[in-house]
Amino acid sequence: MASSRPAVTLRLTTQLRDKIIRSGYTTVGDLCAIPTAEFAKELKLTPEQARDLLDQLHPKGSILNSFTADQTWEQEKKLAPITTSSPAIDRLFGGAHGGIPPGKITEICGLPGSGKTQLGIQLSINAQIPRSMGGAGGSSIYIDTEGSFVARRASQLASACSARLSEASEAAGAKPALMTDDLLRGIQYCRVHSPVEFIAMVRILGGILQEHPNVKLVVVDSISFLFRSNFSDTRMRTKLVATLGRQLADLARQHNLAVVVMNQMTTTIDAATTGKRSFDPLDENVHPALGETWGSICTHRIRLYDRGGQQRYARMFKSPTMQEQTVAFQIGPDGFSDVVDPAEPGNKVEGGGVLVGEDYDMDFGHASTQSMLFWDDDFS
Amino acid sequence: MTSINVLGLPSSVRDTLLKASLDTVEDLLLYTPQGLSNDIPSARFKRQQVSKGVSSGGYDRLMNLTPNEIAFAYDQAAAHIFETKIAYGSAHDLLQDESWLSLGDPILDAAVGGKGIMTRAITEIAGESAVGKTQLCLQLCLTVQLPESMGGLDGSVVWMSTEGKFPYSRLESMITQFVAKHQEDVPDIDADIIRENIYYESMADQETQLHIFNYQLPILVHDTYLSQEDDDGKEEDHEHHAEKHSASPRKKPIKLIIIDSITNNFRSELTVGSSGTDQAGNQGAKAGFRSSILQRSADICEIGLRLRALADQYGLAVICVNQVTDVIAAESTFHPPPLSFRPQPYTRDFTLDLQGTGKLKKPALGLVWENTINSRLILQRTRLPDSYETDGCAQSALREPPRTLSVVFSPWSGHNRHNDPSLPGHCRYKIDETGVVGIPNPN
Repeated sequence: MASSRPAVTLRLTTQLRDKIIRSGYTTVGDLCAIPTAEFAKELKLTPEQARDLLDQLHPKGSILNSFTADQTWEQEKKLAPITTSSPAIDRLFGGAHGGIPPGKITEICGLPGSGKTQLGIQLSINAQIPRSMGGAGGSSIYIDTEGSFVARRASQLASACSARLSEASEAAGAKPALMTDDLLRGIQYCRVHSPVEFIAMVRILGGILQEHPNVKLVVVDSISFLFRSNFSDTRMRTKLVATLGRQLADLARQHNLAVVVMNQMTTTIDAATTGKRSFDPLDENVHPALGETWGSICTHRIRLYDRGGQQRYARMFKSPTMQEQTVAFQIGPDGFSDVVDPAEPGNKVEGGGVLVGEDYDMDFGHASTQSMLFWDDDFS
Repeated sequence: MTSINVLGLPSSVRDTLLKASLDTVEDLLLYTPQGLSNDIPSARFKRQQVSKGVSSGGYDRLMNLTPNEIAFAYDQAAAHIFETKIAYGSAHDLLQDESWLSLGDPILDAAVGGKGIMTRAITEIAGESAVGKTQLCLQLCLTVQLPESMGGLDGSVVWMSTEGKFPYSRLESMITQFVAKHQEDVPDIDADIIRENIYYESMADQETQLHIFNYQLPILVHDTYLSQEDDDGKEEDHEHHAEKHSASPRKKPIKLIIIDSITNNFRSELTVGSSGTDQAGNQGAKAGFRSSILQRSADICEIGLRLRALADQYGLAVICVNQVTDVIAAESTFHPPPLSFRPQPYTRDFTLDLQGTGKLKKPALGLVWENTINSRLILQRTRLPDSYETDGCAQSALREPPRTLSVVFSPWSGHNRHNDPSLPGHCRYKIDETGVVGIPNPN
């Protein structure tokens, strides 16, 4: 806290502020320099006033809990990431197991129909995979602003997941795993209709998470739907989005849960003149909504898209640990999976048609070389 | 908007908030700075208050509250909204609540994912003119009135038209066919009851349209639910005397909203050139177009939010008919776009005329609208390969070209942008006197 900050700017009751001013202290630095107990005696403060003053002088957030990188690393290793069911997408996040990392915000953006909601549903089921099978073994909360969460689809994915789990547990001789209904009960769903409701929900979320420490994943689908161009005051929108993002990031860190936020794409008007960075050469004036303020809050950002309605791709375009990469995936009746490559082994990159299609590498320029290497490494 | 009086705050806190003009729960949540305990009101924040009509003096009074008091008020507001507005439950419960509206034909239903279209969501039907969009909507007007066991929603429909007259004569012939078809399954089916349960509203221009979406439609929907409750009450009261009397036309609650079409008013009123507003007058055509586009986006978002909220609140299905627009072929993909609606040749468009001119078309209103809807269906007329003419399917007396329905995106079914009949999310259909009928896949 800046020591030259005037004492009158502290958020205190009028009486207390008057007392302080009369006592001759003018800056926060002065107040911090003497022990508060002594000060309280001198000014005859009530215990409540003293506590308020103390809270103001030493806000809880400013008492630094510092950890060494080693401790943080140990901590992070203990937390299980949440798999997307597609090993290729999981590997975009790096790490031994891969998957959506806990304690951080991950953004998934894409045009309608690119698979955002499907990924959200898939993750909220996968978050419940027991720890014995390398999952997070938790439950999930799904905050839906769009009304695209379809429970029937969720039950489809859940039964597929349940079948996979029972197979694995039978093979290991363990007790039967989660059933479809259990998986569905493990998703708490809420529908939010307005920015105000969303603010309230995020505020309440802290309380819910305290009561249910088992929650390992919060999905917001989508954040941009509420904050689009119908919001008259752009400055206020920026502020709200930033505050909400910070709150979500805090929740993620405090409770060690993964926060996955879907984002829509918007058309940038006059993109040619502003010269903004392009995320996808395929359609260069389409960008994730909500701008840079929001972008900087997300730790990882992934864009989903498809090409000609045939092949789906996921592209990591912001990550603190990994290179910008593109991988292919598919969504079937049973959910996400890697592309099943019909070509001969050893012929993956050329024959699979995954990366070398007509003018595909031209479109992707540098990025495609990277992804080709990536695929090469993994499959040959 | 709810007054902060409901929050049960200490009176001193409440009075201070009232003086600062934070007099509703919504304002409290939107305008109170977060991270309450260590924020000093910045100059920027004061400006916001001024623009909201609050004097900065009023805001300064908030400083008399301790951080704990403000945080308490804020939490109370959040809790109030959570308790009154937000439904919170498990996905398992949600599964029991989900309901679906049949398209009125098993093949069509199968193509869109098995059970038809989902309620509580916006479904778009796009296609060229005369491809059968209105026909399909008329069919939905009828199926929505069927009991739930038959794929309907046992409700009524409101038809909001921007495109001239309601097709009464076509509806009349479809009702006749519909009654004849379902006479055995649904004993109490009656042409008059069906007519009674189709509401029609005409939206002549954009201003009327916004007004209707903002005020009239919610009231209309709410009224049909109220009268439903009244009816139920009366029926219970008079159950003993007048059981046979209930044959009189009965109003059902609205379960379906059809907008035919969402495009028309937006298209016809999009000003290119001088926008007519005083401020943009001098800045030339580009500025006028730009502001007009921004305004249009805002209107589209607003309508989308309203429809979504309404659909969720009452469990309605919403159908929006959309027109298509030509995709201007860009010579090079790397050129800056002529306007903001840049065609995206590889990813999103589809050929409507496969064998013919190869013209690209896409649904109108751009990405803003695309982000607003939950799912998109495309109807198209295709010229089929010659082999089709000779096989058994084409022997029907109808000489009109076969048509196809495909799912472009939808959260509950796989999509098919490729016109490949072997994949799901796709089917052929024809239009006959009964309505829209699916053609089974020859394979």
